[in-house]
Parts: sequence; C-alpha cells; structure tokens
Amino acid sequence: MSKETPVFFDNAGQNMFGIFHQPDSADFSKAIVICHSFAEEKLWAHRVLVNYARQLTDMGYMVLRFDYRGYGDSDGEFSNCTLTTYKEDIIEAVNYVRKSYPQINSIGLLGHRLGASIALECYDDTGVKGPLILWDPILDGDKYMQDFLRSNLTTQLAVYGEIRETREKLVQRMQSGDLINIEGYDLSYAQFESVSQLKLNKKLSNSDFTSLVVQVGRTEKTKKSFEEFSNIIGSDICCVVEDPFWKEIKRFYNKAPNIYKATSDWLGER
Amino acid sequence: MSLITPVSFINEDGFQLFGMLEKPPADIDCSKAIILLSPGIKMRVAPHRLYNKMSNYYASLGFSVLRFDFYGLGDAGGDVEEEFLADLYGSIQVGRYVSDTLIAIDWLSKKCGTSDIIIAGLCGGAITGLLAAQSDDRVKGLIALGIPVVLDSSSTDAAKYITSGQMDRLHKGYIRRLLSVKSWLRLLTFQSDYRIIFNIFKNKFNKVFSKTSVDQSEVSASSAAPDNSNPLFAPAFFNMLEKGNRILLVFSGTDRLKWEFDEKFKKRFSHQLEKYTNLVDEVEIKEANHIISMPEWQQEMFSTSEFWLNSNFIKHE
Repeated sequence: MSKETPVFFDNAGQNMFGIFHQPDSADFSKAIVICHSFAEEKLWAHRVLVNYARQLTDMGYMVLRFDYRGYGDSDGEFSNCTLTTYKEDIIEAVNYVRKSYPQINSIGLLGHRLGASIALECYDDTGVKGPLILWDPILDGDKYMQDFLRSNLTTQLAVYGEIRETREKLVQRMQSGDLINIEGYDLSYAQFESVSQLKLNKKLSNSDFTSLVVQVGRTEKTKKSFEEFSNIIGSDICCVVEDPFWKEIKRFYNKAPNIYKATSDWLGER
Repeated sequence: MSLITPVSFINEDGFQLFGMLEKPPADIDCSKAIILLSPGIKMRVAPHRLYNKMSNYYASLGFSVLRFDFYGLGDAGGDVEEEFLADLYGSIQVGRYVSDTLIAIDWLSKKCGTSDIIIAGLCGGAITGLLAAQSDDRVKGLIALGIPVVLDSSSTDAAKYITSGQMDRLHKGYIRRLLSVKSWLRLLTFQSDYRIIFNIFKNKFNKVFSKTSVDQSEVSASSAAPDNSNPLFAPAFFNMLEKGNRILLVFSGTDRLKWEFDEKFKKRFSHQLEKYTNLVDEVEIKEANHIISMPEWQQEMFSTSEFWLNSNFIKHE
C-alpha cells in the first residue's frame, strides 16, 4: 500500500485534518485534492473516496483528502460553515499541497456531491490548472437544502409521531437566529441561505481547464439538467450506474467501480 | 484545553489503523483511559461527530480518550468484503473487530501507563466492547449506547422477529396514517412492507382475542433463544459482571434496540440479572433516536456517563 500520512494544517487559526496518499514512485509531479460531500453524506461515502484515493496513487498522483472545518477531525463547528468557508477550506488545502510538495506542477480537484459543486465554484480562486472532476454535483442548491430540511420532518415523525414544524416554520426559525438540528447537524440560516443560492450555471474564466462531470444514477441515460450543465461549463460528461452510496442503502459501498473506471479512463486519456 | 494527536498502529493482519488520541489538560493526571469504538461503518467520528463531542467531554473529566478506525473502515487499511450492510453489522455483532480492539487496548495501556480501561461505544461499538471485555481483564467498565442484542443479516426476515414494543409503536403509526393519501399510495403501489403490516395486525388481533398468553419473563434463561438473538451476548454480559466490572446501558426511547434488549435479554435473564443490580446501571433517554442527534439528548447522555464515571472510576481525595 502507498504511504498514508495524517496531517493537521492551519486555516485562519483553526486546524484542518487531512491524509496525504503518496505514490510509491518518488518523482511524482501531479496531485489531486479530494473535496468531500455535505453533512452525513460524507460519512456514508467516506470509504469510496478513500479507496479511490488509493487507486489514484497507483496512477502516480499524490492525493490529499481533508475535512472541511466543522467536519471529521478538523476544528470548528458545522453551525459555522457556509459556502464561503467551504471554498476557503479547499483553497487552503490546495495551498498546503503546494507548500508541502513544491515539485508538484499540476494540482486537480475531485469533488463529490456538494463538494463537487464547491470545487467548481472555487476552481478559479485556487489557481490550479489540473483536472476538475465532479462526481454527481449538486446543480440546484435550493432543492438540495429543501431535501435536507425534509430529514428534520422525518425525525419529527419518528420522535413525536407528527410533524410539529413545517419546512417554512423551520426556515423562519433559522432566520430568527435559531439553529435547526438535522440528523445531528446544527444548520444555521447563513449556511442554509448560501447553499440554497447555489446554481451551477456559470462558465469558468480559466478556459484552459479540463473537466469531467460524472452523472451517477440508475441508468446511463444523460439527464437533461446534467447535459445542459456540462455544456455550460464545457466539460466532458459520463453517465454511470451506481447506487446512491452517500446515503443509507442496503448495500455496503466501499468502492464504486463504475465511477472509478469512468474517472480513471478519462484521466488516462490526458 | 485538551490536546488531540493523530495516531496509528498496526493490527494483527498488518493493516494500519488510524485514530485520534485526546489527552486531558496537562495539569490533570491522565492515567485513566477510555476507548471509543466505532459504530457500524461511521468510523472514528461517529454520526454527526458524536464521538468528537464525547472525546472532548471525557478528556475534560481527566480521561485520555482514543477513538480509531477498525480495519476496512474509515481511513484504516484493509477491506470489507460483505456486500450488504446488514451482513457487515452481523459480523460485527459476533466479534469481527474484537481483535482490533484488543490491539488498541494494548497500545493505549502502554501510551498512558494504565491497566484500567473503560470502553464506550454506540451500537456496533458497544457490542464489540462487550465481546472484547471477555478476553481482556484491563477492561473495567463499559458505556454501552444502544447496544444490540440481536444478529443482523441480509437473509433474516426482520418482520418475523419484531418485538412487541416495536409492534405497538408501528401499529400506532399505521393507525395515524390511515387518512394519509401518500401512505395509501405507498400501500397500493407495493412500496410498503406487507409482512410487517400483516404481523402487526395479526399480533393485535391475537392480543384482543387470545385468552392465553406467554409471559416472556417465565421463559427459561437456559433455553435456546427462539429468534434472532445474538448467542454471544448473554455469556459476554455475565462474564463482565462475574469479574466485578461495571456496565452503563444507555438506550434511546424511540430506538427498537431498547425493546429488543428488554424483551430478548432482560426478561429472559431476569433471575440471573438480580444478582448484579449493583453493577449494572440502565438509563433511557426519552424520545431520543438511535444516533442521539439532538443536543439535549447528548447532554443527558454526557451527564449520565459523567455521574457514572465519577461514582465508579474517579478516586476522590
């Protein structure tokens, strides 16, 4: 197995936790920073990302997996996260790779779900020029947040046997400064609002970048929304069949072979 | 402020296991140690970072706290071959990660210079701790959050072994949803679990019309469990108690595991348990769910475990 080293690095006075996956060959010059998904999706999908990081090292990439502030073993609280802090964290992770391995001349980003959307949003700001890989990006932040709020309703039903607060009421409470607990995560209005406003429809200013969108679903048929999105950002698109391993399903997913293959084939062509 | 350090050690099969060691503030004696065992596949942080909060809380009480990933999960080396989560859970319930736990006990004992270890865990972490305690006398106590007494398996018909407590709750839920269009739509489009619905109403029917009923508490403790109970649970539980070790059981009020514990262990072994009432403490957090998601439920769990640790493991001058 390649060398894996846990690290803490600083971001505005807070520790961020990461793991470097280093290829066996000493003369590596390419790196990929992995940007994980949102809330509990991160934990369900964790092993899929770990195993793909290991596969990437076999392809000669140095990989950094890291936890945003408020996640995993990084400092901070989830309640303080916003789209802005997520972007800052990705930028800092990229800077940390640059500082730690000056010989690396190409850094790319691989994001999953909301992590993919944020990776796209901050790609220009990171100054990287390597590949951008988006695994099942969230295209519509508003819909995504509404679905997230629905989990709170499910908990209300399970605990109280009824829905005592509708989604509208939950949003009102957040607006008045309360935190809403969803599956154990304290959601603030700032985070709710910033993610809700996310719409992936802007073209990047850096025209040199190469990107891949991997649509994950029950069929290999391209969804219209994904086709439009990939056209707007000028990326390649690949549709693969996998179960939604970022939530609780019957199967145990520690690898996602179809996503891996699509991504590795695409990287191999470059 | 406590100090958190990333650590790693090698398990019996040569896989690297990653973890976090949180030490109490420097001016506190840190020879008391707690190991948090990962629940299910949720690695060393646990759902919604519950273990980070627990680790921080216990460190503030003066304990060194280790939380780490079992092989094949989290950031650890190795792989898990099971295709279904239920089978992975089942393998954990019969001791898949006992060996990793014993390695962690060795590592922490040396690191902290202590031979007294308390194990804590949610669900799969709790049962792993109970099973590991049989093989290691350094384990002096167990904080078990939502400990499972049954065996999960993808080939088991869950509806067949449902407890009466869970049936009552489900029954109320179905009655409430009688006027819900969505629920009827689910039923009519074959999305509902008909076996469970059938069993619930059959059970209700029997309760109303049957004149004879079996008192579960009269079932002999030595008799073979007529269901999906874990045969390793009771021997491990009583082994801990025979050694004079203490167990704190914390259950969530809305968790099926509570009813399973009551009906499939406590009632069946009520006579044996009578001898050990001074060693077992049981607390139910009303309304809480399996992952103890709300801050007030977590606070209740923290204060309960703090009281238990204070009473049993912290020497007062």
